[in-house]
This record gives sequence, structure tokens and C-alpha cells, in this order.
Amino acid sequence: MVRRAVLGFAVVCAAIAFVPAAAGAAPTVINGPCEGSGAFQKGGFTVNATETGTVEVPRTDDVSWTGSITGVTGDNAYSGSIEVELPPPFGSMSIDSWSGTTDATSNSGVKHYDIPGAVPANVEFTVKGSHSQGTASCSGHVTAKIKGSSVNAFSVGSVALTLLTGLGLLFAGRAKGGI
Amino acid sequence: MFKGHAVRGAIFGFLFFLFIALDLLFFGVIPLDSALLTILPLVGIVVGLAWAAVAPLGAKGTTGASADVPPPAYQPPPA
Repeated sequence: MVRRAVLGFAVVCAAIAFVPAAAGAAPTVINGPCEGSGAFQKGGFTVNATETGTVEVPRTDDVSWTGSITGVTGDNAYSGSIEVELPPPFGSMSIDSWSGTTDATSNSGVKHYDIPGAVPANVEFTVKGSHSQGTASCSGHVTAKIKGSSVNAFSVGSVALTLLTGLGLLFAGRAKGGI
Repeated sequence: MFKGHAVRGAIFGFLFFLFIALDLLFFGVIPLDSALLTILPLVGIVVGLAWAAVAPLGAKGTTGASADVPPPAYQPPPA
């Protein structure tokens, strides 16, 4: 349970830490007494929670992560969640959540992830996370995208359907009974 | 009120603008949480209805004879 608790906020910290070297993108924001970092082994880069930008993550990788929280001592109740923000009015989609009791304040590990091929590459999305433990509370968000080309089955299909529906719209403008 | 096809205009306007929004998303122009993804399809309905109301394609000419007017009755030439 303790491991799960610390893993929870470490995941938040690590998620918040997925920051890019790319400039000109939305900043990563973290509020609260949390620290975190993640080293992408295939990607060959390390990010931490103080950097800014958009994270470009490989579709599959192993991340060596560390996370810590300060300002809490002894056994405390904890809870947290990670969500992906969707366009309004859909709100956000929960990826994971956790709760329990722990006295740990830091943790580290290696996490393997493999994003399904059905998720299109090069699409920016915002991941937001929060973790509360005792009186301490952390929250933050980061903009991320999967590394890859914009030209894929999704974009080509979307362009084809744009043309088809554009044609349909064009013909909707034909006068009734006209030539 | 509608010279063209209003229902088709609304449906195809919605779909056309929806796929334009998806094009912008898939080519990295807008992020997943952009309000444009929900606004553009709604704009598409309005544009589709307006397009069907105007119906500029295949409109009957203003100077030519209407197809609804019957041709003049045939009168045989005087003998």
C-alpha cells in the first residue's frame, strides 16, 4: 500500500516532469511541494518538473522515474489522480487514481509504457495530475504529444472524409428542381 | 425559405467542419482540448443551412424562360 501511495504521487510528479526541450509550447505547471523527474531510456532524455514546453514522447519506452513530496511526516491519508483533458464540454478522461494511507515521502522505479497504435501521433494533449497527502497537496499539468509523423492513417482518412463531405455540402447548395 | 436542400446542408455542413477540425487536430495545429473541436461542427450546421438557403448552384436563370411555364400552344399556320 505504501509503495502504491508513493508510486501514485511519483507518477504525478513524473507525468508533470515529462517536459520537452522544445520551445514555444505551453508551459508545464506544477503547484505544491512535489519534485519529480523521468529519464526516457529509448528517447535518451531526462526531464524534470521545473522545465517548460511540450513533451514529445516515444510511442513505447521505459522511464526511470523518481518522485518526492515535502512537508508531511508520519502516516497520512493520500489520494490522487491523472486525467487527460478533452475539448469542452467533455471535461476530462481519468487515466488512473489512487488513495490510501502511507508514511513514505519519496519513491523511484522504472515504468514501461506502450501507447496503442490507435492513438494518433503528433497530436498535442494536456495531462493533468494531482496528489494530496496529509496537509500537502500537489497539482500540475503538462502538454505532451507522441513522437511521429502527422501523415498517418488518421490524418489521411480525415482529409479524404473532408473532401467527401465537402462534396456533399456542395451538392446541398443545388437549387431544388435546378439543372 | 430554402432554395436548396436544408437537411443535407445541415448534415454535410456538420460533417465537413467536423473533419476540418479533425484535420487541424491530426496535423498538430490545435491541441486535443481545443474548443474549436466542438465549435467548428456547430458552425458547420449554420453554414450548411445558409448554403442550402442561398443554393447558388443550378439556380434557374433570371432572364430565361422558367421550366415551370408551359410552352405556348401550337397553332397551325393559316392555309
